[in-house]
Amino acid sequence: MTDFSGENIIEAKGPVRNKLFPLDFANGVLGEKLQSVAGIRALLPLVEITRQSQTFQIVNRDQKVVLFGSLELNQLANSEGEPTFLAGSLRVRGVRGYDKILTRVMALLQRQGLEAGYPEERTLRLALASMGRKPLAYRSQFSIILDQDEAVIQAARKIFLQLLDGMERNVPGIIQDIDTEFLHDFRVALRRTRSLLGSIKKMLPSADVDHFQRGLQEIGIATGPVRDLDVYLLGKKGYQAMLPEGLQEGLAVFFQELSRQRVQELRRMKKALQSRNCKQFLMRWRRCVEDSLIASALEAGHEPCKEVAIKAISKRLQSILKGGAKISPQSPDGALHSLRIQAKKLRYLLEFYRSLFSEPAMNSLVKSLKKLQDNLGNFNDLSVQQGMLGQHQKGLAGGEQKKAVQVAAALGGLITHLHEEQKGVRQEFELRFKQFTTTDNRRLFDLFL
Amino acid sequence: MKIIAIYSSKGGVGKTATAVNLSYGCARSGKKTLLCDMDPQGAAGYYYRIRPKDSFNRKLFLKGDLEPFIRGTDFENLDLLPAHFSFRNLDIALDGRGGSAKELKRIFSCVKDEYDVLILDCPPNMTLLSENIIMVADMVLTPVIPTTLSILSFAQLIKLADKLEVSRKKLVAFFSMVDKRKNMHSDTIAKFGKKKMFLAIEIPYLADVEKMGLYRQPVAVSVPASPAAIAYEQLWLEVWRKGSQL
Repeated sequence: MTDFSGENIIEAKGPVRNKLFPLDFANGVLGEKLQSVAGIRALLPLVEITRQSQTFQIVNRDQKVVLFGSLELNQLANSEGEPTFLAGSLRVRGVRGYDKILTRVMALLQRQGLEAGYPEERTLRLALASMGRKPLAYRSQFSIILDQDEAVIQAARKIFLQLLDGMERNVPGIIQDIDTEFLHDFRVALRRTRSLLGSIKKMLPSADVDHFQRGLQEIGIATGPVRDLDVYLLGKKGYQAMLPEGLQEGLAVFFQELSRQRVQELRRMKKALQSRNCKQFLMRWRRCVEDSLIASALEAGHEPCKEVAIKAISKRLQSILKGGAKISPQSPDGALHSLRIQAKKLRYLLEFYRSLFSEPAMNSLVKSLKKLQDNLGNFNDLSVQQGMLGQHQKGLAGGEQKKAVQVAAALGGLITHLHEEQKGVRQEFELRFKQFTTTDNRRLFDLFL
Repeated sequence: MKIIAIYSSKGGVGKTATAVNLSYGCARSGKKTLLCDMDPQGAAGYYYRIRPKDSFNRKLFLKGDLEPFIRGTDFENLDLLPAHFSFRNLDIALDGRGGSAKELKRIFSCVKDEYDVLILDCPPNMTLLSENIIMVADMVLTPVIPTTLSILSFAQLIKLADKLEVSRKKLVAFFSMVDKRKNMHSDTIAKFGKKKMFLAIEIPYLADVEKMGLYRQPVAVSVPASPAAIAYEQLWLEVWRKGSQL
């Protein structure tokens, strides 16, 4: 790969598939670079720029080249005939030991009003802008600026709209099954929506809340199985590393089965998302948020959002502190599970209302909450995974006897490994919780308590 | 930085043609290359159409202040330090400074990080300067015309290396300006060509090489894919392979 001036950026062998992932460039510098910026996201062609370049040279009396130059025109590929020209550039490169000519040529060009040092990325920005795109405009991370005096229902409206936009934006990518993150981002926005709706349910007519909560939940159910399978498939390497060579074959069969299931579940999910029911529901939800949410809000919805935020966060925080303190090594797994839900709800609240409080305080609070959540999340993931693998093991019957035995052995191996890992995570909980309630954090809690 | 000196005490054996074409091949293979023209006649500079800057002279060279006087050729990865008329007394000047290989090493030390390969086009004589060059170079590459006199002068070089206690392994020769129609050429090659010090490649006597003075370009540029261009490309590959065994 070279940059536009022909300088080598990196060399690597490229993949030949249609849909590209950074991992397809394995073992190269290019792959590593893409990996660090794009991770598990697919690489999509967005614009096509054709560059025409005409080179020239200036020679001295000995016909020795003393300056290299090129004139470049960038053309945006356009299906509708008319070519669109983006800004062109004139490039000059001096030759070592012949500096005077370069200085003279640069001065001449500047007198012609040409701007020196044209940043190459501007060409790309222009091309993207011509199709209404801006680099880094999409972020899966949620962020919104609220005004502390605005009514909570106003704030909620803004948040709902941003989340709904985020959901709708990801639907085409889900339907085309481009990569796993379209669905993931969609579901995160969905969960946030449900969480916020739950936390302000007393400010709205209960029939409305019920209707939308149910609809949102249905979408969650319809999109769940594919996401679950994605998580397993994305973690394939990790599972492979858990098992010795002898059990790999059974694991491979298991993953083939998961891929097959995903094809089915994807079909089912696409049907659900493209159904008239679902489309109409999302349209109703948009109309509700845009037009009637504020008007239909009850008295409580008109309180200033900061007050509501403090109350809600305080309530969650207290129940986490209380619930967490009660957990001992002998407590049942369920206790950790409900603490995880509480922590998640708190996390969403902090993210919604982040802009109303001091930024460094919120940053460190979210950071330490995240550490606790990681522990609780890992614990939960590990038990869900064991359950799923166990289910699958029980379902193994008939068919090819030998294969079934191999798969069962692999799954057994995985379950054992996951169980051990889970024990470790469980043991870590007390420490993590203690860290969450350190004096430093206590001071942060005082913002709300 | 590897130093390859193109050296022969005999004139007219094709040293400069070798230096010019070899440096081009070296640069083409992706190595940052500096061709240093030590011959006050400045033929290498002439072939690359590069004149020395007016302010350059022997004094600055001896100081090791080379950088401002290096000039880019028309080709990527290849720069040239042109010779100056005052280089004709370089050996006497070096002698005045204690005249050791250390001196030359110091002079070239300022470019050692910038270049992968330094190719020296040496003047045809056997002076203190030649001794220093032989000592400082990683490889001394000698074009040998398959004639008695040329062989004799190569034998002298071996003697000199022994006297200087320089490893003979450094000395690498190849037959240059070969005309197989001449009995003397084929006889000489038959007699000496199998010696370890000789490369397998022979550069034939070719008009395109002679015409370099007209084209003022390496043969690979003026007559690409010609027998001359191919011969020098092979010479470069063999030199590099040999060099990496040293």
